[in-house]
Amino acid sequence: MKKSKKNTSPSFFSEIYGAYFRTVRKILGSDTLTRKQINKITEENAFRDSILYIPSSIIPNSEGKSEWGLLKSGADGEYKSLVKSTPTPMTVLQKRWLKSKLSDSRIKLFLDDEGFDKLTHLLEDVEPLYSDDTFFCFDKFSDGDCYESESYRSSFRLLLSAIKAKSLVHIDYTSAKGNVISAEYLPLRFEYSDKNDRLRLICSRAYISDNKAYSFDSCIRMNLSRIKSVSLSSFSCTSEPDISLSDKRSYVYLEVTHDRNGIERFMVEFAPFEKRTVYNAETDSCSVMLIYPTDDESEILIRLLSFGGVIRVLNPKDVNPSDFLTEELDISSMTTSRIADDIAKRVKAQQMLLSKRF
Amino acid sequence: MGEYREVVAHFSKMRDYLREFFIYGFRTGSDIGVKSGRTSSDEKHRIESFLDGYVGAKVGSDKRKRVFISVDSAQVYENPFYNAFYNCGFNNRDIKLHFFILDILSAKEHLSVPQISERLCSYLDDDDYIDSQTVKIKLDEYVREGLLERDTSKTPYLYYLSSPSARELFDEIDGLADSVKLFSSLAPFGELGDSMLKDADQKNDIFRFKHSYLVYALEDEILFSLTECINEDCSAVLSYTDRNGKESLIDCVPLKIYTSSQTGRRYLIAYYPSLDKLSAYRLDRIKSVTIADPCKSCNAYRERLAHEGKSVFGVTFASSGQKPIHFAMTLYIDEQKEPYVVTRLEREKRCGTVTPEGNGIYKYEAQVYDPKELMQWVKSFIGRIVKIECDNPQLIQDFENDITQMFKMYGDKNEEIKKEHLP
Repeated sequence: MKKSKKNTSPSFFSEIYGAYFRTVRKILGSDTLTRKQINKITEENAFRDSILYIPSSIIPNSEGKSEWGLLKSGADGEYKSLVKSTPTPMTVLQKRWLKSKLSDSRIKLFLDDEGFDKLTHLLEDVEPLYSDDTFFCFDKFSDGDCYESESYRSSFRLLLSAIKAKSLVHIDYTSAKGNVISAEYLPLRFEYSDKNDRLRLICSRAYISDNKAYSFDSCIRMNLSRIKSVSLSSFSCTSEPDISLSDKRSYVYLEVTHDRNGIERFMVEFAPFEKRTVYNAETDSCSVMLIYPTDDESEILIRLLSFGGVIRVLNPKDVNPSDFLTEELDISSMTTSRIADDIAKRVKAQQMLLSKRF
Repeated sequence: MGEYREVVAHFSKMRDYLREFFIYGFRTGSDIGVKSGRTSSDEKHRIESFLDGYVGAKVGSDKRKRVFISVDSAQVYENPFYNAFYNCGFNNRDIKLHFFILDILSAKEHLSVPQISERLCSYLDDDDYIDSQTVKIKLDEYVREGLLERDTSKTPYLYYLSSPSARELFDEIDGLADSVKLFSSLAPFGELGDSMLKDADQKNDIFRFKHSYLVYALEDEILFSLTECINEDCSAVLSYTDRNGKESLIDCVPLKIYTSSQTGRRYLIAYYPSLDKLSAYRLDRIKSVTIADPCKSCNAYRERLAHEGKSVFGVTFASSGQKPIHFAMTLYIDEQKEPYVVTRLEREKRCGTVTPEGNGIYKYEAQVYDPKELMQWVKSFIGRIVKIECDNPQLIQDFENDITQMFKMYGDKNEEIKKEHLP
């Protein structure tokens, strides 16, 4: 790979990454195409309104001309590409980004020593997009996963291959309470948390009969760092649970005030969660319906508490749900939150501590 | 009045809209300073197009329509805001040249501008013509972007196709595509990894992401300029909007990017020569970055950052000559029933220390330039805080006032607190 110098100033936003170029590359990659096929490729690879622009710009008119001049009219209403090949060499920014990842310990979860050395060699003249020193995450938890551990890496690789092959695995796992659980599971996905710097396995416990998994529990999350051992199971699997079963969600109604820049702080911090908001100009406050994974109720409680009096958890009886609901949001399968009661207990306890005097 | 185009011409304006619709979800066009209804409508239309399925609208009690973008980050496999990146910079004139040039060079030949120009003629209609200067400009642009290489040992220069493609690289190195599936959804610059996956017709179907600030992707163009400054030890001029909405130009020396995995904010930490101090600038408030002259004192400023950084809980560094301020929090933790609270203290203590003092009493202490930065974290322990000590008495008063306010909100509803829960 030739040297990629960073002072040649590639642009971050370039059309070469864009959906239009990608879609046209797919169109030109086919030998012959009908208008219907061009429309389908556009719908699959570009955006909602692209169907109004791409086909009309690329398909030749009755005189054989088009704005982009990339197709010619063939027989039977078909169109042929004017190009034989649509290569996609990596850009300098893609190479530099990849080079930066070589110093990320997580890459060795995926690459063995040979693959890592090969990539290092291929990128040896490429300057990284950024170095480790450029970034510092100041609030990441300090007890994240140990990606350098050989046993962690081998467990990860086995689970990754099992996810792809939809294979059952046998896992010995230490629960949060310290109990060792040993059972058959179907691994479905990994879940990564930046805050925790941790990988979790989304999986479903399998119940076995006649050497086959006949039913599955609802999905659970298992910290990879708590897996003591994992091996491919001798049992086979004929069906697959629905991963959406792992997504039980609850909702809570909040009132967020403008004090101490509360609305902005809350909205930005809780951006990862689905929510509906209503602004009340009279009180300069915002009512929020916050939707969160039911399993994360303790975390949500802690995070809401941390805002102090800026946030008030509302009693669902005091809220008109229609202020928040829209057609696409179905809350019938969600549970209402217990957070209000838990916060009240914590505040009451704190008030008693305060009354004992600081 | 120009014709509506789906592609985004000015990303900074689009970035403001996306942030408002996603972060707040309750503001109208006029709330965010849009003067023309047509402008607002066009931007909304573009967003609806490239974020199809994530955009909703609701009419408020004032009969005005609010647009919102709703995404649960834990349920998506690909950051939808990358579509903003994929919808920028398209130019109708260049698309033909792009595909013809790459096709000509796909035969692995090394060709000069005249040779490429000559071959281009075979793709064009009789009445169409692309001059060789236009071809040279495009070839040089693609050398900068990395799509092409240029052999300058010959005259005229020869151009040839760069290698490899993402697909070839993924085929060659086992596991690489899967690693890109993980990294492409993580900041910084995940869109570059995502574009590699798309080039190779792959998509992430293995990883989901919790606590993921998708909106960070909207700052990556700014971040790119800042990392180039940091890489090159250069000063910069920031066009910056402060918390009061006042815009100004800031001359500074970019040193490091502080990111948060919990608050949704990223900061540039830079040396600010006018006040001889290290300052934090929120990335979402930086409108543009101009890379300025090289700075010879960068290493000295970085050493200063490393030293002061030991007394920083968030992003506030020392004011001129300031010494760190002592802060202490004493907690009662039921170690039998709530051992996880002890774990929390240890893993979240940052620059502080934790000392067990027996009978469930734990003392957290830190020396920091701005103890106010601790208070949001401190309040997450409400119900367990026995004592707060700080050289800044106002901080303690504010905390007590906050608890009193919260007690008024919730206090009268719950009288069943058990004495044994208290120290």
